[in-house]
Amino acid sequence: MAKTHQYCVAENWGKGFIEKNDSRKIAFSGLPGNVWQVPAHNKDANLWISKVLGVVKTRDEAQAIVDAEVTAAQNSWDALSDERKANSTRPADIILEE
Amino acid sequence: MATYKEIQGIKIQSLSSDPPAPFIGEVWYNSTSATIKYRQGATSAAWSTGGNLGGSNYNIRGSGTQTAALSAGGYPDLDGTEEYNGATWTAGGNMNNSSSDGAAAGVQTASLYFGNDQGPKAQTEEYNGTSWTNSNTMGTGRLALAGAGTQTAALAFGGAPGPGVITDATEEYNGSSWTNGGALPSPIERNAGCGTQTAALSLGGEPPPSGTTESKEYNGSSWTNGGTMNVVRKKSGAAGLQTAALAFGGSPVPAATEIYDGSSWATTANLSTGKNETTGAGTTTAALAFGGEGPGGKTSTTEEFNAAAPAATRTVGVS
Repeated sequence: MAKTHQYCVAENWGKGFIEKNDSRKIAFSGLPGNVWQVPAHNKDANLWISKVLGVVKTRDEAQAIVDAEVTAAQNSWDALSDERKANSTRPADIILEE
Repeated sequence: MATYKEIQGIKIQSLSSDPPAPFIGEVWYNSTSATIKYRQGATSAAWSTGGNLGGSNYNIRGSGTQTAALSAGGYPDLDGTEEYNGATWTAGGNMNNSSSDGAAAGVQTASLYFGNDQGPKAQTEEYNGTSWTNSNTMGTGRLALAGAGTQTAALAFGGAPGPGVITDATEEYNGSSWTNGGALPSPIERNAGCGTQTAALSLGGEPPPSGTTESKEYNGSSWTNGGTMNVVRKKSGAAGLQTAALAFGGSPVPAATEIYDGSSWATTANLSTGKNETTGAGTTTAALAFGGEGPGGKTSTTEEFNAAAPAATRTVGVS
């Protein structure tokens, strides 16, 4: 089955990282560990990855990064007091699509 | 450097007036106004990244505009505030009380923070752009409430006065003290608010554990049902007015964004990073979403919303 998404690691530096015109052309999904999901086989997405100096990852590599971040966040949440837990949500596992 | 003719194969026309029906991308020189103009195509709504928060990022509360916003309270600093200038966040004056999960109203240089889950739940603090001053407390202390309005005409509605207790109370602030307003149709907490004291909007929220698609409209004395949102929301952000509102983020669909015209909600561009328990500022044409819980944990990211725009003739700035 053809890939519908591609992944890269890039740190969101703030203003200019995703510009309006990027957002109009590309469907972004920001994930834990500075992992970004963008469309595969997409010239605009490829140009954006180059612009932000993104390091392209396979789906499995990206999944490993996300899993590590989510596990750490879950452990932090588990250590919270009951009062703090009541006011927040335990981070959920994230399964990346091909 | 290549000329326009070398790129496009034609010269820029010199016209005494704008062409009546320019095509998208057409460029011309208006000799009357001595300006270069072009026809820009319609653009869709979009979120783009803004500067990242430097301090607290969770249970913070926002007020102001897209280019002059304030973030107040929240974890981990609790008494910290930050000011946004359209590009970066810098530290503002510290609050008098450790604060989180309250509500905010107003603008960056005249903001109001009320409610709290840290200390005095009835607290009210006013910000003048430099420092915070305690004001008279609310009649019903609470957390997880929503707010609307300005520093001198604010509205507090819903929230949780204590563990397991939710209120329908509405209070109006006149710049000095709070008085009771019309009660919500039913108790609600973790709702979001926007608008003014006499034309406010409450959206989403819960009796635990689920959210709701409902919105409610306040006319200065009573609440009535507003439009039904497309997705269930609680702990979302909101910006704008009762008749031109934006709802973004929240649980359980943290990237979803909707726009309200006073009667119905329409889906618009998603946030690039989902934000639960987020906050915001601005209007439906230029909004800001910042902080909250992203996928996998707290996020310090800021996103700027710009509304869709029709095709328009623009003037090129020439220096």
